[in-house]
Amino acid sequence: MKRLSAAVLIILLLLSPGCGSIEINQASVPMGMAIDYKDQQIHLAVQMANPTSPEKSGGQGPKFFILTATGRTIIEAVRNIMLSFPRFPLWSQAGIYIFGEDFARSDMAIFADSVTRNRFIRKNIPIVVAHGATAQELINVKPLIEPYTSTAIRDLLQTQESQLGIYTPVTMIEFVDRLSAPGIEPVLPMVTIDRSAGKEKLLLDGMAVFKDRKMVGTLNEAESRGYRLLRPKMIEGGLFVIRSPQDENGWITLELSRSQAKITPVVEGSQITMKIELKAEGNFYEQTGTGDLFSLPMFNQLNALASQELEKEIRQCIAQAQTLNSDFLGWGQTIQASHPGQWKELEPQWGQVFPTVQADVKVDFQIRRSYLTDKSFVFRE
Amino acid sequence: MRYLGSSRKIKAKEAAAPPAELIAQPLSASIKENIDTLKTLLKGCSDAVLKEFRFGPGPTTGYLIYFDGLADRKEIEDNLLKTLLLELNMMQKDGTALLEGPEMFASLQNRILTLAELKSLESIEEVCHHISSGDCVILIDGWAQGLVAGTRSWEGRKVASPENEVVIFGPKEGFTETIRFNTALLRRRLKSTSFKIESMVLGRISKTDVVICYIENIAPPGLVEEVKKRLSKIDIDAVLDTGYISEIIADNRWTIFNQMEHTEKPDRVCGSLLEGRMAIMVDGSPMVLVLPISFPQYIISPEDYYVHFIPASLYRILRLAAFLLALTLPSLYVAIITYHHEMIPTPLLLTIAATRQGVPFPAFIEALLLDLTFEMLREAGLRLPRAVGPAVSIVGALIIGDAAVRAGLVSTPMVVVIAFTGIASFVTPSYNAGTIIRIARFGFLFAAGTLGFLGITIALILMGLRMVSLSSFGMPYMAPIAPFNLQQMGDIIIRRPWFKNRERPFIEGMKNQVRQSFPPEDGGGKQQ
Repeated sequence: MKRLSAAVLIILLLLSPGCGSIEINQASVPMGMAIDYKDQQIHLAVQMANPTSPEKSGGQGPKFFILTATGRTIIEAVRNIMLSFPRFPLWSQAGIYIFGEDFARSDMAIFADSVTRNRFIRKNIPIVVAHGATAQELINVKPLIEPYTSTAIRDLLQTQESQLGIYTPVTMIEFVDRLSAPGIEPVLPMVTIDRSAGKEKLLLDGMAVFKDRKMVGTLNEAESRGYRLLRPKMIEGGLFVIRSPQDENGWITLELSRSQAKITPVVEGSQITMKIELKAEGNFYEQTGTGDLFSLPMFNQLNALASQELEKEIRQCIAQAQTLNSDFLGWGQTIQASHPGQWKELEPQWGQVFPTVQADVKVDFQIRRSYLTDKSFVFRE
Repeated sequence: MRYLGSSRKIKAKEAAAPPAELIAQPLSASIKENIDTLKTLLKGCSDAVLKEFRFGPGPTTGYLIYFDGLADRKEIEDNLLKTLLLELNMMQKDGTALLEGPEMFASLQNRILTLAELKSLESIEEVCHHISSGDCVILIDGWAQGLVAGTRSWEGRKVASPENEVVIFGPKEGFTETIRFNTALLRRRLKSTSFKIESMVLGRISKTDVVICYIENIAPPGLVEEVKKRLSKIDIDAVLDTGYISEIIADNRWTIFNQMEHTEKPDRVCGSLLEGRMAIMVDGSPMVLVLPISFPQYIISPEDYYVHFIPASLYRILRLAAFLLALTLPSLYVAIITYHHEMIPTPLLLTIAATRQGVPFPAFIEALLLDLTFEMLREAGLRLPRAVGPAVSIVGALIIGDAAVRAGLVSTPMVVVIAFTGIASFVTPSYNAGTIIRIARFGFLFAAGTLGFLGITIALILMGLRMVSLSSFGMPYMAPIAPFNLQQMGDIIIRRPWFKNRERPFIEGMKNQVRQSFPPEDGGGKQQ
């Protein structure tokens, strides 16, 4: 009898629904979040997927719809969505966070605590800042080919990095880490709406620089390239253009196949110099002018020109960082790693010291391949 | 419970009781007395034949007793009746045969009858046993002995390839219902006198021949003793199949995990015997028990040893994957789409969400219903008369595969998951293992529907605990995984090549473990 009642109890226990159980057909899938900040209020727009069954024909409606809500805090705004929306959103599926520029220029404290505490926010997704439009307008744009903004922006960032090498994708966890870590500031890529062709489309445009929890300025294309080169990581892919050494009006396109920056701080009294050595190699892609470039002295000349170009980009980036007084290059961390003692003294006044830091840039670029031909194109004279 | 048990015992004794005192009698010198006793015993047995004949020149009568249909009538006519009625009289005239006095019986047995199997009998009990086994008994007036001639022959199934264990490579013979054929199939493969086939009789009414097979010097003596001991303790009215025995002699009876393997393939039995295992055969059943076995062996097919070791090893890995999937796939799917949505890549989630729009059941109930339906189709497919088979498979495929999805009762991914699981559960070569998987799968499904991954983990732990606590005739059920043995693992997940296969898998008490001796330079394949 005891055994029987125990068995019945266990079966009843098994049949009772568990706490975290959500059926998929009673849930909805948010694809991306856009956060704006106006009048001390969080304005949230959620891109919600509109799943259409492959079984039913004619399901060619819009792939997503936008829900909006406001609140004093992020989570309040998120929960306010439930006032108008009957299905539980699986927040962990949201694949992108877009910050309005207003929001980025306000205090990031609104956001950071919520991210680190909340298990429903994915940490490996990209974040971008909306530029020239509110985040809500941006997330309303139907991207080309891709059905959802999240995949569109993620793939945009990734393919442009390997093909062009201008902007660096930043993930949620990297952003939040940089907000909290001393000696490094966050940057985020920016996205704008391109209305030039009559139809709205997404366009990557510059990077947003943060300092002390607030967005303080932007990087243009060349500075963004410089930032990418200055990251102490192996960088693969990218394209850049230099003047031809033989032809006044000619251009030469080079592909950056590999680049590695080595940054060593030299602390001499109050003067800090960052020794930056960049080892890069790349491939010859094309020239628009005429003339034979394929000789050893010409190669050395090309290498020197390319190194100059890369050095220029790096210097522009450093200049912009020091103008904005935002150490997004992470030099503070570099010093902390190699000179922990000095860093302790430097840390409180890093804001004043950083703009005075000297940079000693050395770039060594080598051309490796020239693809299908080993000669320059010869025109019939 | 105690009450039930005792009444069952009383009934069993009654069933065996009635002609006990008749049967125990020794044969009498008077043929009339013997025949009267036999007639009482055989009353109501319409297939019994008692043929009276005049024996020799005098008035001596003899009786020929056999069961029609079991004994070879042609042999009785040619070799017994013809000799006794015609040739005997001719010999008598020549004086070659001496049919006087007490020597007559001996000369009948040794000089006159032309049959290979002849034996003399002493009691009515022996007479009954032999005639019901298909032999023919000769009783002669004046002698308190009977003569039995081996004339067993009946219509049986021919040796055919077994339907349950299909192989592509290797022998295709299968056991039949006749135990003599079966032992012959084994003896033909193991032509050694150390291959022992010990016989015993089980079943008070059925008197079934049961044999245990083993190879002396390889099978551990302790194991042989233990099996004999367990078999001798069986006291049952009938043994109709090896299934009876396997349930009674198992180490652990209250479990779904079989501790003995059933097989219909003689080559598989021989392989096991050579590994030091034993086999039990029962007359009337083509299924042979192989013991002891451990659970990991269920992914081994006899075919593995016949094909090249690289594909064989890959097949085993495939089977292992199929085994794990068949066990856990529906529960993993249910757990993920009910509890762990963040684990699904977004595009896949959207596809699943789209197909689940409007499905009225929770995923757990959906999986349970579909899995039960699959099991019913499988069970129905087994028992279907051949004529209705296609009808049911069409209805099954249409209703389950198409109409249910279109009606929005189940979602397409769930159909895919259950169908895949169903197929995967038949990848395991042993039907027994497939059954274990299918039963355990429902447990996993409940666990997943209740607690998600946590539930699956708990179920896996409980199943693992149960499995390591079992043993098969003293051999750990999870050997060689637990207790771990690297040397033997070489023949579980992969199939060790024959040229490296030096030792037999170890069974407790085994003395002779070397299977193959290598030449000193390791392998004769290398050319100089």
